[in-house]
Amino acid sequence: MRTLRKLQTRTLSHVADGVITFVVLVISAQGVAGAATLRGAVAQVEITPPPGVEMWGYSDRTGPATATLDPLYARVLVLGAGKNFLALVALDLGRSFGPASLARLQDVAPQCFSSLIVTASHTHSGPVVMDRYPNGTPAWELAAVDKIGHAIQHACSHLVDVRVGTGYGAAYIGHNRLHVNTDGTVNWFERNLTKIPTSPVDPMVSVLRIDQVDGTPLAILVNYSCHPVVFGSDNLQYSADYPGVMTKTVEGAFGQKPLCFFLQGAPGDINPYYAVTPLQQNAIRMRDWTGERLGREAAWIAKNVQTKADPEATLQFVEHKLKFHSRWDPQKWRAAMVAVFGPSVFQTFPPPAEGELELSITTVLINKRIAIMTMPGEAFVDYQISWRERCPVPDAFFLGYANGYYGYFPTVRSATLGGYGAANPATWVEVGAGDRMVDDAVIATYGMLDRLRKLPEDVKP
Amino acid sequence: MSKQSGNFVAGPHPGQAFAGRLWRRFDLFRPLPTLACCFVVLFLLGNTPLGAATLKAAVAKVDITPPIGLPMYGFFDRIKEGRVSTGVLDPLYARVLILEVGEKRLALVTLDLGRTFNAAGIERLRKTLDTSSGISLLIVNASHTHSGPNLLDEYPSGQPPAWELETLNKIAATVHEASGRLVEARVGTGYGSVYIGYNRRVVGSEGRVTMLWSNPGMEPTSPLDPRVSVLRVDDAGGKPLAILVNYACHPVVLGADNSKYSADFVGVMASTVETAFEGAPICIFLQGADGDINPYYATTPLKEDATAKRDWTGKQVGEEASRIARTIQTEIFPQPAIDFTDDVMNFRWRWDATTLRNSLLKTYGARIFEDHAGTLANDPPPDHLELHVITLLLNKRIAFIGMPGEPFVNFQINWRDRCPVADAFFLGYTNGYFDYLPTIDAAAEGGYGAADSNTYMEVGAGEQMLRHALVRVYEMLGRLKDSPEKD
Repeated sequence: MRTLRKLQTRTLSHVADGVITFVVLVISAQGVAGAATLRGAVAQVEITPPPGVEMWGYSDRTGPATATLDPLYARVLVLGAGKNFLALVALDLGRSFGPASLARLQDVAPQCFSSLIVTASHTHSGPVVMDRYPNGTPAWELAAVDKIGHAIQHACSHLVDVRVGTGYGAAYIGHNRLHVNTDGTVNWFERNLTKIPTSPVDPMVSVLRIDQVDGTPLAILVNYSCHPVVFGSDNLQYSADYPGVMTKTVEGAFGQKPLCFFLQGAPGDINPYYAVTPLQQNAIRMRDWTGERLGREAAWIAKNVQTKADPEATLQFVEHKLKFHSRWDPQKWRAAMVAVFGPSVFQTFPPPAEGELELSITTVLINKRIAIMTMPGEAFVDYQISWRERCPVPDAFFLGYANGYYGYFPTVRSATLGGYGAANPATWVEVGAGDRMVDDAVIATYGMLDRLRKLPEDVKP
Repeated sequence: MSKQSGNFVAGPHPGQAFAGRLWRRFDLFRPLPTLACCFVVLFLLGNTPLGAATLKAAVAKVDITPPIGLPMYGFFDRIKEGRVSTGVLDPLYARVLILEVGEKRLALVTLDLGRTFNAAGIERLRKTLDTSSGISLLIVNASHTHSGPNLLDEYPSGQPPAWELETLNKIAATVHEASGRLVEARVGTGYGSVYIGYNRRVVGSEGRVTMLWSNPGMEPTSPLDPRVSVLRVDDAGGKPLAILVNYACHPVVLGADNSKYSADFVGVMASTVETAFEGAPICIFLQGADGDINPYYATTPLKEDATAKRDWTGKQVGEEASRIARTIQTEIFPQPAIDFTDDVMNFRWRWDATTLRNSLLKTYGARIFEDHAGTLANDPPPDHLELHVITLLLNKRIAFIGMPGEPFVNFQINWRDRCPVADAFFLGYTNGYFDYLPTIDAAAEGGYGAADSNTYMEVGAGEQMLRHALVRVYEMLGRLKDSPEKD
């Protein structure tokens, strides 16, 4: 059944501007641009494709999508200060869009925002998304991009002064699916119904709450790491999986006032306990348990967050393109892809995996204390933990599946241990790429904090 | 000197050597980098089983003390004022350990010098040893004594001074001689700790860095790595041939007022160990990641009995190293192996290179290029910097990383934490010299070697080199497959 797609936009009333300075930092260019307050707006648009589209995530599906269990959304947050605005788009999709669609979104309102982050929840119950389609971009994606573009424009025209705050808690809904045996071999630990402790996992639920100046919640951003794969390959209906339930839970707890965003973290090796539950074993209930558990914790955290208006609000960002080489010989990689995912893998999953790879990394700094780093793929959870430990500001958010998709990013050690995403064809960027991206984000954050000098301390300019 | 031992004469830089038989250039990331890190040179040896091969070793030592009257290394005041060496407190040595497994022969050359020779010098030594002694794998590590002769990347005359050429000749001849008397060897490792120094960058609670240039009160500081790592090499009968001591501390007990050559505390340490073993083995000091580590009695004035402080410092390390070495049970490995890579990584400048060059000239005058930042002597400076990173894995269980400069001590600690084998040695000042390599955090905090003109490599270069060597060790262990799993 084709579902209704409706642009939902929340707008807020204006309040008096403060007088503050802010820093513009785009691709390492920095300059003072005048006074500003932090401003924001949110929008939500449904992007559920029609039935009949091939689905993402499993190579053993029996057919394309047949219906919709729950709608897929794109949620938009535009946030900024002065002339420096970020458009953050969170998708209920398996991955972010490819270069052509990202370019279309970049061009949709260039006067409105200067940095774009498109991140996906990684639900495995959405449509296939590809960098390049053999027969051109499908109609559903063109329509979705248009709607998201309108949502961004709408949000841009309804910006209001906002205040932000952060909070943290913990939820246990998943486990590390790569079990390392004492002899160093790795077992695939897909489901963990009895909730056996594993490691590493990151139970931290990180919440960024954005309020109107009167304290009314506008957006609640929930950052957590876990594959949205409660549904398995027997499911042929679109669903946001547990993140959809999580967002509903949070919005319900706040009387539907704010828009809740799920920001997928680094779940490259993290599955939900009830992963790939067969539909006949009540997968929907397991999805709901998982989403509600995370949502209740996020709501509890959000209620305790004290937002405040920063008298010197800033929003800065650095966008880098880092070059990496392919991990594998192209022929060996292609052979392994076919062996693991079947002969039709390149019809639905032809990633850019050969030669020199150019990955986009964005680091955002809000009010000099809330940092967000992105990776264009499926980072292992240790990267999220490492980023939080190393980030020079107290609040460190990690967004996987952002601005491109380059498969799994295992840690160096994981790459040597092996297993799915660590040493199989689902990872194809050089070993250590994830470490390098975290380094880059740490350096970028220091740069935005003005803690990296332009000239040595001891010389005369 | 025989032709085989390889005389050195002044001549043009043998740049073509980089395209030679042993060096393959992979320009993976053209055009060259806005964002660093390309592996340009790779040479990987030894991943094949070696069957019944044995590990053989030989050691040698040669006096390389230069004639007096040369400018000295390390303290800019001394260079700026044109002061030259006036005598010898204790001789400077080059020490050589040759290891051989099957067809592979490696020479480790350690120098009682402030830094290694420039790229041309190392390349000439490499070519000569390859021709004369069948040694294609070369590690050159300097102790970083500040009481040696000055070495430059670029000499005003375009040629290295006579003493440097003569030293290279001596080393080549010594290696050649030693390579003729290789014997079956057994190896073992041991660890202990000693406190002779401190972290000279004191980060205050507000984040400001204060430099603590000496610490005679021995106030605790951090980070610090008190670990003394020892590799003992015996002959087949258990008689010690070499005792390698890896530790991180600037050899700067003697300060700028000293104008006599000395190996500083390192020489005393080596003598202490050799004496403890009745002169049988050669003790080889491997300087670690001492970029931010000074001895407690740093730059002690001569009139305050600097030589006694030097001796105290050296004996502390030497006595601990001797104790460790005595407890080591060396063993013959059934399947010995030498795995070695010497990779070149490209990095950007941290600062705008031309601006930095001009600022250095304005601040310090032209002689600054005789102290640090030799690469900057070029006008215009090169658009990127090529750094050698070496990785050695001995017998699949003893790993070494070499960085061409002064890494901060956290890199050494991090290397040991992350290295997948039990024994992880860290060598600074190896196969080149590019001044200080601070961690990312230290670069942001500031201070000497962290955010001044003594560091000019892009921030994060040390992290990249360490990660590169880590991946190399995993490759050498066969734990990074060259094709994806298919199940």
